[in-house]
Amino acid sequence: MGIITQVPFLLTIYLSTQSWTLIRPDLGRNFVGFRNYAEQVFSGGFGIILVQTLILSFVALALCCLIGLGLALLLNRDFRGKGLIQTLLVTPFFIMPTVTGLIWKNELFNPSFGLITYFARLLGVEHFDPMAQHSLIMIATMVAWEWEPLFMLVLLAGLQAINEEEIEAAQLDGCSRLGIFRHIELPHLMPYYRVVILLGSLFILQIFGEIYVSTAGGPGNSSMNLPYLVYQTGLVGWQVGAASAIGVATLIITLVILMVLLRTMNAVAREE
Amino acid sequence: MGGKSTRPTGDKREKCGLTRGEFLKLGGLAGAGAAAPSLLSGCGSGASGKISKGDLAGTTVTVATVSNSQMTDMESLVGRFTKQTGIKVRFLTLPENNLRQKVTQDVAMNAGDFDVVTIGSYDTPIWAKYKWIVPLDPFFSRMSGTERQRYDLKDLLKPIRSLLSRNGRLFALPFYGESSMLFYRRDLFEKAKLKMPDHPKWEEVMGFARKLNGISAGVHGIILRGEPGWGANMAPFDTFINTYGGRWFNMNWEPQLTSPQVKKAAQVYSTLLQKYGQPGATSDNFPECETAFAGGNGAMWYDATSAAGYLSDPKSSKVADRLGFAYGPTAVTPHGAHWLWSWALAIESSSRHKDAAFEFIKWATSKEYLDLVGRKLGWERVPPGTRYYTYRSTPYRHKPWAEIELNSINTADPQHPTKQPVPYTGIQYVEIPEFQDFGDAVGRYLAALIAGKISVDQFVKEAQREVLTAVRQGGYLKK
Repeated sequence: MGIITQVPFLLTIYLSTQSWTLIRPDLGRNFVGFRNYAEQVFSGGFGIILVQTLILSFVALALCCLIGLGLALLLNRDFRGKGLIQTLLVTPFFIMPTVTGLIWKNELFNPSFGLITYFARLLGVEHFDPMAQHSLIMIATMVAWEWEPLFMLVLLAGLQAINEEEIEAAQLDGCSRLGIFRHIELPHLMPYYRVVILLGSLFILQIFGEIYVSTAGGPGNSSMNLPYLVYQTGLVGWQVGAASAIGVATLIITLVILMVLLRTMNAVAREE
Repeated sequence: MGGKSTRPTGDKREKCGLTRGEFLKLGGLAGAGAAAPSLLSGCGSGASGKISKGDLAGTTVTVATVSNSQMTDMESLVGRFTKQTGIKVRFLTLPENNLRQKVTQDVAMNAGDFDVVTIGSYDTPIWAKYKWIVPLDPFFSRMSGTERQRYDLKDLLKPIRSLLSRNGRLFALPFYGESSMLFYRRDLFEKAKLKMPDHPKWEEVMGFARKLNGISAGVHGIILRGEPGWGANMAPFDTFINTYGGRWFNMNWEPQLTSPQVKKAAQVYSTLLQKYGQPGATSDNFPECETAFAGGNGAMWYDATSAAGYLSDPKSSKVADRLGFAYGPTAVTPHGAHWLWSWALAIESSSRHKDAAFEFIKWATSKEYLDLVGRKLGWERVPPGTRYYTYRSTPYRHKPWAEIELNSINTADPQHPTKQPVPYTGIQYVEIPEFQDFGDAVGRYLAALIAGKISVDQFVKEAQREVLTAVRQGGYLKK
């Protein structure tokens, strides 16, 4: 099993040492060592796109953590129609990334006939075109909208696992609602946060469909992330070697980020 | 034909085809999860034996096509072809960019998933050079005299025919052809007491756009493409580069994007859109622009001649009865001021049903097919820009734009697209494989310029950098 899972990766490493452009069969395929890495990874463009990938992921994760927590706290009580509300709140999680991208680009934010731009006009905001002006943040928001239900559900599970007696005891001691949140609920939620942040970053670092259909990485390269760069190089530029090099670098960077995340969170957990 | 290995000349160590793992890796790389091809990684394609007509009945031909209205019409009419020949046709329909990716993978890896591919005029000479598609002259020379007369190869529009040839051999048959022109609203021009000349200048158009912007609620002065892509915003923008006297490369393949001419073109294009264009243009490609203009949101629209039919159809257009048509505007030079494009049908080298495939493309590009569409669906829906017949002998010739369309196609010269000499052919594209990639990249910077995120100077600098890297890597330019 281990061998089977590693074969594609080893193949990618091998391909990343080749100069091979699919649409130029006349140039053939040649071994170039680390030239692809030098040209693709250690050159100007890659660094900026790496930073954008990190900004995108960080903003999306932060939004997910905040919104997910807010919604979980709201749902952690009994009220009429709770089941329905919960279902509605989870819906975005089940919408395909490409569909989300199209809905945001056309129905919501199209400057001519988008719903949100229409309200912006009513409020007197002219030339409201966030998909072009703030493309990266818009993509991050879109991703947060898709992924916050996961955070909400996990955190809600966490809240519901808190022992009722603990909270009642705190209330008897005159502890305020905010105090309960700070000293009981939040510490209790930490391990849940750890799991969901790790899971979330794994997926959010790799988003592709949302970018592909809504901004195509533009304007300029302002909303490109590393997976999109791999796609652009490999399936638009047809440079198999270069795309493999970027892919390998992306994988290494992703692993490093996840390791750092894990360590930080373990350290935080130990301090608790 | 056939029988020869598809191995390209040049590097002897070139491996033909890919292993399945490599293919999957390539798909997996992009997270695009490409479907595995039917595993036919063998080199070359068997010679297709001589088959007499009757033997083709029962064969299934697989066609990869692009999702636009003319192709959808073809799918709805294909039953008639099956009735005539007994050949079944299966379609795979995709948007332009996905189609090109899928088909490129299929042909480059010799997988043989498709028999007939829909390809653009940009792809045809490149694919012909690599022997990914087969030359069509052997099929024509095998035809009987009457058959040849019925198809009438000489009836194909000359510029379109040469666009689909390499070294004098035809490699694809045109399904439709187009140039670019200026659509405008006669009612708004009358209201503003303006007169559109037959051959406008971009300066004049800018003046009109200024006066007409906001003349009625929701009307923008001009509509232009802004979505990034070599076939999206770059198509009209390339004609701006040409007519302002600019060019992509000089004769030594040194990129020329920082020239004053290209700067001027970029400045005019972005000013038109920023000041008098539709908002949010950076997400508008051809269909979005078409919808906006047909919905009455623009006073002018510069785009493909093939939109005329849609705009003139009251079912799809609110402005069908007040359309005006003018030639593609010019600036400094008429060279390359309007583009030339064709969607065509070709046969893949790895196809195992080449004869049946040829029967199909012959039918879809014949005079009979044009008549069939005209009678069944209406003459404005006939695929335009392929045959003299359309403009001489069918009711299509009475359409108000027919003359402009035909003249624009006939005067477009991909061999001399620019004022100054260039080492490439192609008007709204550069006829080299790398163009897809750097054209996309420049298109993204053009979108950033339109959105006001970068200046004209930054735009030309970034564009120059991208193009320089590409031609260095492609070995056009000595390092």
